[in-house]
Amino acid sequence: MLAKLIVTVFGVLLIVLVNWYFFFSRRKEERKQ
Amino acid sequence: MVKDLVCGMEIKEQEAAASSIYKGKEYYFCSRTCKKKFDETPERYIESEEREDDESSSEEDDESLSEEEGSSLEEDKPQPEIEKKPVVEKVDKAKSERIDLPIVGMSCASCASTIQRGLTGINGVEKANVNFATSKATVLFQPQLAKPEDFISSVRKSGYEVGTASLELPIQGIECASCVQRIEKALLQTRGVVKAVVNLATAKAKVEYLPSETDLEEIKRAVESTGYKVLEFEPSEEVEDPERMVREKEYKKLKTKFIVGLALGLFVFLGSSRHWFPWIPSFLGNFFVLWILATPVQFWIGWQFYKGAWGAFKHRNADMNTLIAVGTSAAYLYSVVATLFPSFFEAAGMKPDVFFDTSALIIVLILFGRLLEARAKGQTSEAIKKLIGLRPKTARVIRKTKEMDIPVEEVLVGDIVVVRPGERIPVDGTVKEGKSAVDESMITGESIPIKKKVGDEVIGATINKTGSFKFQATKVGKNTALAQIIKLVQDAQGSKAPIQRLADVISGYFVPIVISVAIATFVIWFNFGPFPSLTFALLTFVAVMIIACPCALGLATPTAVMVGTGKGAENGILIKGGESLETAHKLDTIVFDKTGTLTKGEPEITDLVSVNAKSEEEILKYAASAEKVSEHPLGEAIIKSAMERKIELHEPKDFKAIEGHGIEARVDGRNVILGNIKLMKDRGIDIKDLEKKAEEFAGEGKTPIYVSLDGKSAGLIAVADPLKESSVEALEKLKKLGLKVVMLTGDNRKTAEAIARKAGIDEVLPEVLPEDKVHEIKRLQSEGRRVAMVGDGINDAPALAQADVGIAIGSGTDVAMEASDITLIKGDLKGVASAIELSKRTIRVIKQNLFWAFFYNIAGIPVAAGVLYPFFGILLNPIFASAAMAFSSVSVVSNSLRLRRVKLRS
Repeated sequence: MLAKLIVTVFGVLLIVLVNWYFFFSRRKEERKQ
Repeated sequence: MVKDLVCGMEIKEQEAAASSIYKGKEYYFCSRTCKKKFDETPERYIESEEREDDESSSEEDDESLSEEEGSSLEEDKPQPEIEKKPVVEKVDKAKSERIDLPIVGMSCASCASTIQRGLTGINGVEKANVNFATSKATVLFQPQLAKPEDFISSVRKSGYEVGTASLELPIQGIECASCVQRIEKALLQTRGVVKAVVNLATAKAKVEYLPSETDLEEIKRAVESTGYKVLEFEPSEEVEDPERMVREKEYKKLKTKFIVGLALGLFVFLGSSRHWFPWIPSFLGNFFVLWILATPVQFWIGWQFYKGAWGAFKHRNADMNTLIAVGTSAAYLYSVVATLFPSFFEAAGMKPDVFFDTSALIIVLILFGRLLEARAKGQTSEAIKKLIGLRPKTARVIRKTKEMDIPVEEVLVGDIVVVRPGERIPVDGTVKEGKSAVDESMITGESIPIKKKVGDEVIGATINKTGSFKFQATKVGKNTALAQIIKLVQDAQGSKAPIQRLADVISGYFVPIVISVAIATFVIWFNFGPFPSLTFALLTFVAVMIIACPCALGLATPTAVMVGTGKGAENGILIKGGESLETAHKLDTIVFDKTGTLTKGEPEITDLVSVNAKSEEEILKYAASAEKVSEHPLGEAIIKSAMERKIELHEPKDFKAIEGHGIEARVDGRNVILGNIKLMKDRGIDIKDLEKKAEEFAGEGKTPIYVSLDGKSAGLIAVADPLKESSVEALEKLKKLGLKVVMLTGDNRKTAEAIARKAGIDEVLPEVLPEDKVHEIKRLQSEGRRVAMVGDGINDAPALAQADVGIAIGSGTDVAMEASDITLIKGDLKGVASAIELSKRTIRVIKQNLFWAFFYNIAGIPVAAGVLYPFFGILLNPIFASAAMAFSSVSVVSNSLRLRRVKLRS
């Protein structure tokens, strides 16, 4: 059960991180440029 | 200290090895060789030194100017707008330059956007465009702010290579370290030279350069400008076609990696599938053995994926390399953990399992896909290869009354070139002696040999058929028609069609979304999947990552544009870019300029009417004399007719051309006016007795020209310009394609309508003055029509540029070709229909490609994620996912290649 919870939380965090890194922070940088 | 003007070395006067006095001034040298060189041509060294001095002083001026500007800016802060102005102007005035860089190692459209982002970020770069299909980056930049080396290092930082060529030049006379520096400096100042190292010991210069920017001749010239001689040497094949060599080298490397990977991958596969193949020795199934076999595949063969993924990651981008690197690494790392710590899995109640076969075979299969893709991509540029192959290597020229064979690069403008039957004409020129028939099919697409006599122009690369002749070279090197065509086609192939923007936008968002979907798949399978859920979660994660590759999406448009434009070039249709190709299929109206386009452009006098007791000869004498200085084709027809009748012409005085209406001049003291009805009425000339006859002529499609002498009507000249043989047929074909055909002419309505009837045109725009052509096009566009303009003259250029697609007839002027989007090299109007047909077919292929590319991804991702598993128990093995992905890009390229076999019916 704990393993499932850890994987779920970690997975969601990873998705957020991927989208932040490749979309939002990139767009911010592009705007700055 | 003084400077040795030959090698540039700084020496002390008293230590100089030699000196020379020239025009009263003493010059010092580091060696006797330098002195000897100076004595041979002293002016050359003195002049080049003066030039250098001027350049450096002007640079200093510039610097001091900007310093002054900078300081004034700081000092006068209260009025920044006024003070800033000059700085802005200075930047605006600076001319931007363009450079093309061949890129090595790109594997998908995302790679292109990674490189593009890196290049755009460089200070001084105005625009960067990276095309995946042509593997080329085009950069528009301010030369004073950015240098080509910056672009190369940016490309390298992104994880890719720039396809440069290199050569070794043996140089005579290098004696000291300063000579080395001087040559290196000259080489590095040459545009397109990336690296130059001169070796004093071997007396050779190793030059790395961009083949698209410079060539052997320019490099040689740079060395020779410093006073040294490049010795004769056999250029290797690399110099002949360096871009092809780069491509082939890459292909060979890929092939070797694939073969080694396949062998290792097979062993890993057999070892992992001992339950299917019981005869496999048991040691091959050992996890450690599988690990050892899979590691080189993962990190040596698959290194390019890691390199590409890292390069993209640094630019906050993700591409197919990211997907492959992450996907295969997940399978590989899981297997490594299972090999090293099996007890960890056993404690969780699972049987430790390894997926080395998955990671290794995915890499091998993707490499196989790239291998096929590289080969197919090479075929898409076959048209260019064919054109380059047409370039003759040598020419036979007459110099100092002697015939000699020289390399074609050494032919100079003005050289007399000898061509024998069956030989290829080396450069463009004008026939000076002899006559022959020349096969120009390779350039114009016209299959019948064209007769050539003294004064006719010949095109380089065409084949002389029957007789021998001598011609004078008028265009050589980069200026020949063939070189221009190659450049145009290369540019067109590298350009992006607007339809590609859709694919570009999607592939930019695609990969991060796929990574998110893959992670979600992993979480869902891990939480809700059957036992062993970790294995299922891992396999579905890898399968999603691998199947969703945007490379088919990236290849869909550019490969079709490449083949389409190449096919056009083979048929004598030069299309300037993807945009023109795309717009051409949307056209609904084609506007033709009459003279020279629909008609032969060689008007002839058909009728002559005289009144007020004037003879025909007399009318023709005055009319032709008045037209003597006019350049109008109708004027030429009148002069030609007068010459045929052997009428003596006189010089006109006070000549005045009234554009679109006629001319006025004084001949033998008499006032002559030639022109249309409007001009006559404006001048108050009574033409009642001629009006009926004029209408009759106009009804027959002839242009009536009134002639008046001293303010009284004298006669009427009817001129007709016969239609080209191909016009009627070509117009019929266009109508069949559902296009509306319009004729634009300066003729009066009656004449224009009569010609239109003959040609089968429904809509006529008569009495249009040359400068109003562009307004007529604008008017048609404002009605919501998509208009193509077909024309050939300089006065058509604005209209060609205004039209949605400007089509220039190749036998016309360079200006018209410059302003147009499509050029028909053969002056045949059937090419218009062919160009539109080609555009329609290319767009159809692009749409098919885009459909399949989307279909693969949209259908593939849910299957890979295991959507079908709960219903049918179907789960996609990641190995099959990689095979499907490789197949998707190969199928898209093959579909584009189908265009090569298209026969243009028109």
